[in-house]
Amino acid sequence: MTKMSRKPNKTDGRDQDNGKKDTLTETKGFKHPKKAYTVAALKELRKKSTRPSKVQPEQVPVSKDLGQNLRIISDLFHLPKNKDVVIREFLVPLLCPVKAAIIYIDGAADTKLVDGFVLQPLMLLSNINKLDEGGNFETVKNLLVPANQVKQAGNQQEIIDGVVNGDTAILLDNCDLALIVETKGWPGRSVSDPKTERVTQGPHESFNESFRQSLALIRKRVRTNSLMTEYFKVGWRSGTDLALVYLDGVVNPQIVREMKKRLKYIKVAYVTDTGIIQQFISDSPYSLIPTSLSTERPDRVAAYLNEGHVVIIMDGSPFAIIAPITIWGLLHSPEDYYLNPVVGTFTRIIRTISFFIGVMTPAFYIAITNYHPEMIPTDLLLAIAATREVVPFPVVVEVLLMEFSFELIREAGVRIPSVLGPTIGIVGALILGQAAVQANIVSPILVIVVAITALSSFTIPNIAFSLSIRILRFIFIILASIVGFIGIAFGLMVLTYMVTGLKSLGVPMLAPVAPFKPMSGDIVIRRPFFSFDSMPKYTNPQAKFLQAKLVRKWDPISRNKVKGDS
Amino acid sequence: MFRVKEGKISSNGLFVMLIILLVAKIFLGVPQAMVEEGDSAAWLLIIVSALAAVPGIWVLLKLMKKFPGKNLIQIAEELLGRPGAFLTGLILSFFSLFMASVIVREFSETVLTTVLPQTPISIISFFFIGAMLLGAYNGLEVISRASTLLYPFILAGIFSILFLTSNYINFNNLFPIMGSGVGKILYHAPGRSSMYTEVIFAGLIAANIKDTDVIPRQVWKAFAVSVVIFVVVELFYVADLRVPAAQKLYVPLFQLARLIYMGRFIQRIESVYIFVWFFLGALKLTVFLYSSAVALGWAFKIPIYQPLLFPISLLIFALSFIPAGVYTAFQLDMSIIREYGAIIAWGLPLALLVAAAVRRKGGGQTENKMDK
Amino acid sequence: MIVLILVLSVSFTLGCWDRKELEDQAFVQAIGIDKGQDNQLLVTFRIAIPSKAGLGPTGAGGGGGGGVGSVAAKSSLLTTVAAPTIPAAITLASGYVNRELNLMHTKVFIFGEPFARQGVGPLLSILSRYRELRRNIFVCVAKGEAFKLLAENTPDLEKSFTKYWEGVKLLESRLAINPGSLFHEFAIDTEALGISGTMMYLAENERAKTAKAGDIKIPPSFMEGNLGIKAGEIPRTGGNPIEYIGTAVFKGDKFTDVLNLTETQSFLMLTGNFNRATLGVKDPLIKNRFIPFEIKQGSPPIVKVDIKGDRVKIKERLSVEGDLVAIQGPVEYATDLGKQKLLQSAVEKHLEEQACSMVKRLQKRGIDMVGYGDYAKRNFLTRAEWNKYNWPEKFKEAEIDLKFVFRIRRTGLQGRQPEIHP
Repeated sequence: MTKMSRKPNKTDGRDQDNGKKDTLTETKGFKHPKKAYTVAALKELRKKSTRPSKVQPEQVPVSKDLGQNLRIISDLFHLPKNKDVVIREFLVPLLCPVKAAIIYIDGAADTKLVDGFVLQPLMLLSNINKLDEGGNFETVKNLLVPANQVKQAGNQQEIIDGVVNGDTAILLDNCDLALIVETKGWPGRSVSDPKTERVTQGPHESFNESFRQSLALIRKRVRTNSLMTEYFKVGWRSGTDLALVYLDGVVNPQIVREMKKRLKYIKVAYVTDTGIIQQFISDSPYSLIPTSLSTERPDRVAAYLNEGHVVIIMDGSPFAIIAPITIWGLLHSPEDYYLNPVVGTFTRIIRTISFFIGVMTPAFYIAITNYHPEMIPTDLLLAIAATREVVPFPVVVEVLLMEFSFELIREAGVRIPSVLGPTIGIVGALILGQAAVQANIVSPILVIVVAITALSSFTIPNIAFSLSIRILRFIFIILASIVGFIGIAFGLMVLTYMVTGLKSLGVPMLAPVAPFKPMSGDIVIRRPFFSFDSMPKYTNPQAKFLQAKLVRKWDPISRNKVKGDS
Repeated sequence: MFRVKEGKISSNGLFVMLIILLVAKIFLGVPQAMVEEGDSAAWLLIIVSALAAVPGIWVLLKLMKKFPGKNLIQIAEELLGRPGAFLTGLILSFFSLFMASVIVREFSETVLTTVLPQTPISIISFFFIGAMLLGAYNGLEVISRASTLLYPFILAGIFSILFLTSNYINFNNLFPIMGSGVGKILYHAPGRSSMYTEVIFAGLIAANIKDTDVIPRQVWKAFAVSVVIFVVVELFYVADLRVPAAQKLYVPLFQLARLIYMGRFIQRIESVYIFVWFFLGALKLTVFLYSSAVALGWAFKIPIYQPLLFPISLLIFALSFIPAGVYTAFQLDMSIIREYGAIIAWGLPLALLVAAAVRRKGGGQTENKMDK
Repeated sequence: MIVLILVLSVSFTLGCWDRKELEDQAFVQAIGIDKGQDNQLLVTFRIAIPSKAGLGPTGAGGGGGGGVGSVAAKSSLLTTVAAPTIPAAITLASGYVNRELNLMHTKVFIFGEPFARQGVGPLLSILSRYRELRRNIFVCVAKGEAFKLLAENTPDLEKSFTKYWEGVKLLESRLAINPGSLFHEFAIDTEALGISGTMMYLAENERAKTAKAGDIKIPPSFMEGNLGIKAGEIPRTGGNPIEYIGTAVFKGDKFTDVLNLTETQSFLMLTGNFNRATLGVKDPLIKNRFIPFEIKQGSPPIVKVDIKGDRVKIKERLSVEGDLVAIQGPVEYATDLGKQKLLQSAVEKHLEEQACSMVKRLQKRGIDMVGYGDYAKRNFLTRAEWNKYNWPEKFKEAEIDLKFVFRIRRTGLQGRQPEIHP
């Protein structure tokens, strides 16, 4: 219903010049004119920013005149003002010496690489035995640049692209092509521990902001020629590299096509993290439950790749996006797979239960104490009633107060410098709880309720998911305070309808439970690894099997089982 | 060719939705009404009335087999032209609407009498109607998925009630074995076969099921499973309470839940069953609202059924307040819908089948008109 | 956000029709019903006082003052109101208790003897209709007045009455000293044709307060090794004066008779609800020595009712198992199989006599406590036939044949008897 009523408003805002609707908008305050202005201004801005100068750089070919080229480039980079860009002119002592220049950005390019593998061969080694490979350009390209990646650039835009990405451009006089030599040397972290998805058993490597390293970490785990990495550039100003990673022959090609389509339509100035990409590609961006999984664990990515999912790696973000996913994946931790299946199943059950505890305990507390007091054992009931007698607020207010202050502690805990963080968190929680009880603001049982809720919301491995649990919790609190269990049941029903309607890249989020598909034994109960014969079916992968039919051939029991099956 | 835009579900989804539709009434007056008429042989009455429903279902399935991949309204259109389709759609739509309004009232009424006595009934109805609006708005796929997700919990809920009250069981309560007598049971059975009228829903969504050839199997399966559930619940209900008491209780399953007493800790837990109850009620209502809107869509050739939902649910809301009290509401269900509903549910397919025989149309040709 | 604020403000001010804070309600733990003047009811409420309840921070030292009162009695309020109906009594009580009375946690309904003899029928309806009262409430009949019994009830071990009553109920399965009747069972039995309802029987032991240990009178049945006493008759001093031994027998809705401890045990055995109890049997070989057993039902009783026209023949077969707890005399029952057989048949005879005398006594008055009518129903095809048969009358003339099979399974931790040297 809210959806229906909101739609016409939006169109009101856009058709500003429609005089009739002005009266409507007036009642709602200044919102609409403001919106309309921003839309118009944005269009203007876009026009401007896509054309920094009158002529597009890609229309300007590399000129044969080195001086001319350098002038254009200095102009494009606003050179004397812009101090990062370095232009070094020199002479290449070939058979017939030629004037040359290299352009790179200090800091983006690795100066050691520039010195040792661009300047040194060009200026010194070219002198040793003068060679000619059919023209200066060919000689330089084929003999004198011992770098691993060299590209040719025919117009100014390509030079700019190369240089802003940390490469070095070589310009030769009398040559209408430039050489872009790979010299990327961005500063960055080295591979380190995962920050958000820690495990006790399993690899401790995580992705980092470096694109290549992240991809390398995947390659390290999936060593096959069918691992595809397709590159995209996103953001016309940030020029961020994106890689779509998938296993050819395993993944359902429709999923790859869909993902490519969605990536192609991201037309923005900049992106800074995969979190932003997630919003662009999500099937339902307003959903509280994430429809794609972000992880910083290469082992997890490798596992998902093998099961026919696609992965997006972005330069500058330590989080990879996995899609399509199911809601069960949000409750899984890679550790589940590394431990004994019984233990794995146990931890998963705990997590699944804790999801419900995290969402509903305070609501349950309100519903029971306010609407269904018969459910509490009599002695406990009297104890609660006794502690409540000195508290001046209704239970709802009490719960909201406590939950709110807990949210404060949590939010503060994230901002507090890391050394102090945990201490202050604990101290805050303890002191607040204790003092609130002693000041008769809340009853002691409530502190238990809130503490359990808080703990259980932290057991959810996916951060986005655990954050949305906290919002859901408040919704359930309000519902419970209106009609008790009926309210909670209504909330659950609505949640069910919403979740069952969710799709991730077209795959229902609750698959393979609803809609029911043959299960691989990897939802809440985790079967032992050797029984994961077939791939999860819900993505319709091309490959059908994850392992041979008989993986424990030496084991008489499993051999008999297979015989019995077939 | 005209189509109302709906999703496609698997026949498994149909099975689950039928189970929900059929089983939901067990939370309302059914067990009590059965004891009223069948006495200690209430379980026998259920079995006999199920047997009485078999020909009706057979006719429906026969019709669906003759026109694979088509729903009742499409079949009516092919056989009787536009007027026939219009009439069929209208009948189905109003049938669902009427059932929905009665069920809204019954579920809200039972909530009121059991847990929330002072809340206005409109508020409770509002929650049911809100849930069903949202579900029906999201479409068939979502309803089927939600049913698939929740029905294990619903069945577990029902059986946990039976298990937790098993300390009251006394098999002597099931005697005299013939209850009110064979004659009475046979007399009441045909009317009671309308306990299974919801099966007609399969005919309404036949066009949206991916695997047409397994529909009959799934319908029979759902029918059989719900009959088994009815019989088991009835047996437990009568065995837990003696017949005289069992004939008098409103909301029998909830009464059983109130009886749960397993030591000091497990007692007074009937409120937990509100969840099962609400899920079941809301799911069933969602299906009814959906089928009412879709049938109307087919009747009036409205390709998008969603705009119909809100007016229909308002109608349901308004209609649900017509019965004066809880007793009239239950009477409406038990003595009108459950007695004469059979005429619509079994009569409509039969009429269409007769029409098909007269016009010599259909016959299971595998013409693929689904893609158009 | 605006929606949220709206919803919140609505929920705080308007809504929440059924919302009641715990501290705004008075939870009734027990209700006593007595006959007042002119057919009015005297309703006694035992209402918990949360701030003094056992678990509360201030309640812990509630009984510290010593003296007579128990913690449970001190942490609750006892009040009696005269009213025409129970809801009226609730309304009136709220008029001075300061909180709305809530019956959801009521554990027990106690009917005063005069009221119960007159018939509890008028109250069956409220118990099964009113949503706050539950069908699994315990029902008892008090000897004398219920309000007096509730007032004198001062549990020593329990801090709350709820737990006290739960404990009373638990003794049904532990020691079979009372039938542990729930209202549900009473109601469905009363409504049915072939069985009569039962309640627990409570009484105050007036001598317990005043008597000294030296002048306790021994009931005559003890001489037979038989605990043939009921509530109010335990020879003792000290402790809570309220006792809960025995079964109140109803004919229709009227209280008519009381079964004592041994009869209650027989009754529970005959109905198959017997779990475990101790039993003392006279030593068949040595006078004035007793042999205590711990007995339990081996398998559910097998009942057969043969109906030939007006002649009814009831056969019941029971199997009981027992463990020897002690042998007072010097006979080696534990190791001597021949003597064990002797002992077994002595026990069988003992159990049979106990059961027969109980069943026959009630049969004469047309009370079918065990529910043989329930089994008789199996001989009929339809309810109409069964109703026509007029069981209560036919039962009076029925021939009842009870047979016990008793086996000694275990003989305790010791084999032969200890030798005593003069």
